[in-house]
Amino acid sequence: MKQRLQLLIIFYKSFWIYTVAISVGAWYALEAPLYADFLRILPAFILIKLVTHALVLYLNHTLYAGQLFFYTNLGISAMRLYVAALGLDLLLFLLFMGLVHLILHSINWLL
Amino acid sequence: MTTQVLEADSMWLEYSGIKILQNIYIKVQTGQVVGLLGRNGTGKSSLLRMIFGTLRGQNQSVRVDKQYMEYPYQQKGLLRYLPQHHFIPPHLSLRQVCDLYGVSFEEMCLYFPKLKVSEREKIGNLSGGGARLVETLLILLSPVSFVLLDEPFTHLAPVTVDLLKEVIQEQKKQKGIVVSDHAYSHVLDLSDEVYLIVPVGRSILLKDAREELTLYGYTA
Repeated sequence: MKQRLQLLIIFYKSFWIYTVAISVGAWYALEAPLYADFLRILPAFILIKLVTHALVLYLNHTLYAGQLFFYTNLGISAMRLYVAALGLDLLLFLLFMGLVHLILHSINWLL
Repeated sequence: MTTQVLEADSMWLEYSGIKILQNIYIKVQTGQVVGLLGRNGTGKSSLLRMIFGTLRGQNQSVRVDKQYMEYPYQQKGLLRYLPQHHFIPPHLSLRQVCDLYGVSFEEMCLYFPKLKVSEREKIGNLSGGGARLVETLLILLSPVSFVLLDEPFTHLAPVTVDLLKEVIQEQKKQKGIVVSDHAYSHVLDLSDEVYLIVPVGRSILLKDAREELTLYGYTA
């Protein structure tokens, strides 16, 4: 389990900058909604993420196809790697949103 | 050590109606080096990837000790594959990849002492030949029963090739090894058995390899 997580992080590190930029960019493009408004746009946001994630992975697959053998040699299929990377990416964004909400909540409380 | 047998047959692969592989039988057992030769484009790499399990053809059957394996690479401790091109993410260090692959860095250095200074070096900073050597050793020294080596001698200096051949001979005591390389004389030196892939996608087990290679037009 620890090794799989390690491999997922190695894989994710090869393109995280793009997917994180897309997440923040998409959220901002959807007028940076917060609280209940964020939950309302969540389906559209996830749809954008699915499409862009597929595009990023396609480019990654095209440019660095050989590197997939690094993971398959350790028993992890390409599909499992792609899905897990999407899950990790969404989780990181939700943590980011949680942090944003926490900061805003704290500011409101202080004021 | 119990002998394990890996067999592949009924390998049928075609792209857009063009047949690549259609009549293949290949067998390798632990304690054996099997050579795989063939002209460019005869499907050697595709065959290795089908055996490994990452390339799905129209049909395939890979068995270990007569047991069918749908995705052999997902079986823990069964096999590993050296692809033709670099496959290690360049930002990882030699020590990191050894740890991930369960390969002893110290054992690697026993064969190639010069690697000792590269322990913390990133793979991407090694020379083309250095990276290739590391990749080949990583697969070869892996704790698995079978290894599939696609072009292991590419980019390597002759002296390194000779040393690598010794490592292969040493590792075959515990493993079954399939080697495919255009440097056919090295393959012949190493192999206990040799298969030739001929158009269109047929495998032939050679009895007198050097003579038959000429007969089939692989060598002049």
